[in-house]
Amino acid sequence: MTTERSITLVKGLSRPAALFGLTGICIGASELWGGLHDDVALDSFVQRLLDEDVTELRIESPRGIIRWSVSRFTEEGRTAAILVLADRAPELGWPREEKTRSLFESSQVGLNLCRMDGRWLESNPAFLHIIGYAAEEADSGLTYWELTPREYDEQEREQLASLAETGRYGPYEKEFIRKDGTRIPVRLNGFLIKRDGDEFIWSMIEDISAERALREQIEVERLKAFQASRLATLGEMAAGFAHEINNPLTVIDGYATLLRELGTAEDPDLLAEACDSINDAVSRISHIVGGLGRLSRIDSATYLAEVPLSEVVGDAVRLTLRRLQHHGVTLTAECCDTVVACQPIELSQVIINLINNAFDAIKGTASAWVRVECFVRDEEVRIVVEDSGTRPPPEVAARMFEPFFTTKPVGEGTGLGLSISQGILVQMGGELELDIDQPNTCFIARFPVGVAQ
Amino acid sequence: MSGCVVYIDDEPMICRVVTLGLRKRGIDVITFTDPCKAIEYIQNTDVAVVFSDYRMPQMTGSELLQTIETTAGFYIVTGGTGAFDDPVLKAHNCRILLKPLDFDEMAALVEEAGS
Repeated sequence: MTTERSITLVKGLSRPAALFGLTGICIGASELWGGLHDDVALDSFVQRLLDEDVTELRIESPRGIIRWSVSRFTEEGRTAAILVLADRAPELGWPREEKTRSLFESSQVGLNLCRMDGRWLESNPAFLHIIGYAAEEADSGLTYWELTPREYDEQEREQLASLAETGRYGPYEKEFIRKDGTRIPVRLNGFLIKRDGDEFIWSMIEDISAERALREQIEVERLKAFQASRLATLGEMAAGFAHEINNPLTVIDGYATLLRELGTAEDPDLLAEACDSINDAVSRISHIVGGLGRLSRIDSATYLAEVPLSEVVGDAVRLTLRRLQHHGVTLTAECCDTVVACQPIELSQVIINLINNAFDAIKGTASAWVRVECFVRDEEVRIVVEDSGTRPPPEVAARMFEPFFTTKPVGEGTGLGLSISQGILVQMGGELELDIDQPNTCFIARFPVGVAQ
Repeated sequence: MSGCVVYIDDEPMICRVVTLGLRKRGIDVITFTDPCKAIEYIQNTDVAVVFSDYRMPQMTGSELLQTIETTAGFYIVTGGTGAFDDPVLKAHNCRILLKPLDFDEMAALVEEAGS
């Protein structure tokens, strides 16, 4: 007796093929004899089933435990055992077509079958989702080429050559043009199949936009880290530099002061002028050195004070307002009263620096204005300083936070303002950035509110 | 004013200009380019105010402050920024003057100590 669910064992027939009759028919039978390595083992197994009072057999298999119930009978003088499959793993007996279909329908990888000319025959939901088309649209004559941006032509030719040569292509990365016109980065690979003298391509398509965004993010972080390390190196240099320069400056400045106080020259006016010039020059150098010194203190721990944002911003605006008004530049400020944790002096220095930069860029232009706006969003303080000037070109924007980078005429800018401002914000756990979505020059300083609201 | 004013800096030219600058303001200063000699002097003399450079070859101004036992007014003078992070100076609440120096400011501090 051999059916889909049972096996008859007869003593004396030891080969599996004979034992199980049409063994292939009985699902799970392979697990039954799979652990029996040779005829001796099989013999003793059969013997045990026939002689002992075993009523149930449990076979462990990769698909779980398969249970067989055992019964015996004697016929024509021979004892036989009948093993009946008592239960089976749920996947057993699942029709192959159904299994494959569910893989095709539910796979997160896009699957697509197309002709050699690029006409599509079949696409799974994942692929349709990637390209943003409905199934009917994809089936009604849409081709691979309509969705491929022209700049990938060369790459596509290479992949087709690979397909012709090896029967496979990819994996490689490209973009598809989605139905809404946007592009989506994908990674593809596939192979050639032949059927009835015709050739087709099966392709597997993955949406890699998240992966690509992550890669870009990593690249941005790497650049930031590089920038930070450069600042740190410069900071170390600057600390030594400041000390070395300030000593001779002390001597020059001290003697210049004394010289003026002595005032015994024949031409007191000229003497005063000379002394003033020396003092001015010293103070300018000392100012630059001071900036370098602050740069070196970027990583040192600092105390954050809790102050109303409007106070800090108010200070900065008061200090710059007169100068801007004098040159016909309108300065407006809008600020909330939220109490924030910050380094107030340093923060107002940042705002003053941004306002002064804006002023330098737009002074003398018609209806020039600078706008300061501060607000709290998502637990983050944002200070926006925007002016009527055009946003800097990308090549300037890319370098503007570097120390010593300046677009101002020689002698007018130290090139340290933005890098120091950036350093101050980093110290407060925030950052300074150029808003590239604005047509005007617009800087945004962001840092965490940092106090219990 | 009781006690004298001491200025310590490894740069002789700065010692010289400080002497002249403060003399112009009616203050006599005794200067040292070697902090060890300064320590010896401070411990055996009635000193009202000490100005000391921060970074010197033999020791830092903060080490000097720890060595001397004085009730004199003590000020650090520096051209760098390291002094601002010095825990000893912070603990002593020690005021830090930046180079280039302002003679008027120094004179005011001396006056404060004297009154």
